[in-house]
Amino acid sequence: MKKLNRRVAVVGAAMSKFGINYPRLRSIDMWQEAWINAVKLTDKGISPKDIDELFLGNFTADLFNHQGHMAPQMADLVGLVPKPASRFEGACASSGIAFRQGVMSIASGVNDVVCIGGVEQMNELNTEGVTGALAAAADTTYEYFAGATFPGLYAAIANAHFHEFGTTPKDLWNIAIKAYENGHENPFAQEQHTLKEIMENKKNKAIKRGKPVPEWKDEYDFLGSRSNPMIAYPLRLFDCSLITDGAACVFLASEENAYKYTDNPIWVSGIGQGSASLSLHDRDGGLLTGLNATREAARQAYEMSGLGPKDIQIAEVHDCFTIAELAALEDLGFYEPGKAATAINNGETKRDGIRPINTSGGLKTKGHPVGATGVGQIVEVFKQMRGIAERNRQVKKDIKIGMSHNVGGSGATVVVNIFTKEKI
Amino acid sequence: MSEENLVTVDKYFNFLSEKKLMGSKCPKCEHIDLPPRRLCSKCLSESEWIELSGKGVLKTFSSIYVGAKAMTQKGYNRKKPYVFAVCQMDEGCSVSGQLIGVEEDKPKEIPFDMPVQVVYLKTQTGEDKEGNPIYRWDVGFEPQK
Repeated sequence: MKKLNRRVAVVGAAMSKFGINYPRLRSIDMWQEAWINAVKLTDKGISPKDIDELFLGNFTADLFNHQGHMAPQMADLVGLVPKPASRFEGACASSGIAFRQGVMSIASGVNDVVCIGGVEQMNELNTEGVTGALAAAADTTYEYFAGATFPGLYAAIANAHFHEFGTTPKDLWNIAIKAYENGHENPFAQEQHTLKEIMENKKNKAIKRGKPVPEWKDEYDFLGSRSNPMIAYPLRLFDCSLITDGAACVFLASEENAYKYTDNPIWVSGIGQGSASLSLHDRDGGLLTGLNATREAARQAYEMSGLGPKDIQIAEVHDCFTIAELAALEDLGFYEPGKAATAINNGETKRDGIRPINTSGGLKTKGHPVGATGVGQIVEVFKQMRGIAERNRQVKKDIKIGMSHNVGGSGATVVVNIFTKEKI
Repeated sequence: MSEENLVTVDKYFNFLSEKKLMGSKCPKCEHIDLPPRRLCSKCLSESEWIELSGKGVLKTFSSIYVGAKAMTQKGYNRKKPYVFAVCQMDEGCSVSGQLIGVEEDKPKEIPFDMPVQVVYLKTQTGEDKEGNPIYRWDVGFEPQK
């Protein structure tokens, strides 16, 4: 893996509030909100005339909103026309791919400053409609009629992981509990209640309706109860991420231009992208307990940066399901296969742990507007490295090296980025 | 390769409708692919059709309670889950399919590496001009008897 031909830095990054925004806010509105917020977080400001090109991630406004051809639409809203504007699609890794293309466009010398966007408006459809649209990211020819759903595919990965390594539902619930603790501290998150508050709300609702009041000893008791229904064994409702509307925006500049916008650029020191068969059954080597494409993307990013898993201080990983976070921690090399659960249970991935994971709340509570997710992750890494994460979410130690990991589908596309404060 | 013997998706599904499990075999490296591929997944040589034994083992699965529309239309729901499975055939290749003939709502009791055999499952995908149902046929599995 060769180095970038010239250094590229993140000079500003922000997102819209993630949540059930439709119909109050649509893609058009959320994208402008993300842009305004990103301009505010660019220390010395930035103007459309500085920006050479827009790289936009969007999975499927075609199916969610009957809107294709979104890049020029979004470019026009923020004063970027007549400059080039293109949309990138890789399911839930769409904006991760857009980001990588933007980085390479600067490294190549074609562009000096670019804008990377991600946007998705999912809640226009009901849950069945959303599930149907998302199914287009799996293998429609061979998997769909076998009964595959996204929870089902990740559940099959979880089941294989349980079988091979003795992982348990409780291991996965610790990931969910952490996600709620972090989402509680993120004003941009879709779900800002802690799990205890959600349990309390359920009790109060039952009292109001004159129904029997459920009693749970603790969070685990709740997560193992009928209030947390099975979606696809062994995954239950609280193992799944959310259906979200949202947008995110990042500004990138070459080394020569970065200091026009900030005195503290965050350098993109490693990028990697991997692919695998669309269908789970065709995975090379028959790996069912993790994602080969994550391993490949991470290998490239580590090699380019000269860094290794031990150097990464924080990471936003793609937790579309709790098992996806666990598998990511192993595939990224933070833990040996089968060893992540113990580390999670020991608190190593919490905000005050050895290597905090998904301080934003992750896809689980921050939300998962699929095409905006990859850039949304970079926003959190940027905030943590700048020391500006809101509420009590900021990690106490100085974060010099961070990572983002973005997955499309059941792992057919994966993007991994490594960010550093120092030039490498 | 003559048009007649070309490995295509449509022919694969037509074989399934005749209850024949056809994969593709590479004449050079002898690797077998299922679902079949025109280009061998190992060496990219042009493959030929081969009939498979239809026997294999269960590699992983999930009992699905909130199902794909194609399955809920068949009457599966939260109270009546179905099993999505990935099975490895004796020939080495793996494929997805619905696993039937097991207790779907007791997933903990479904054993990994259980020997399975292929069954052929149909789904109505539409109607023709006369209102007759149109079906597609897919690979499914059941425990070996």
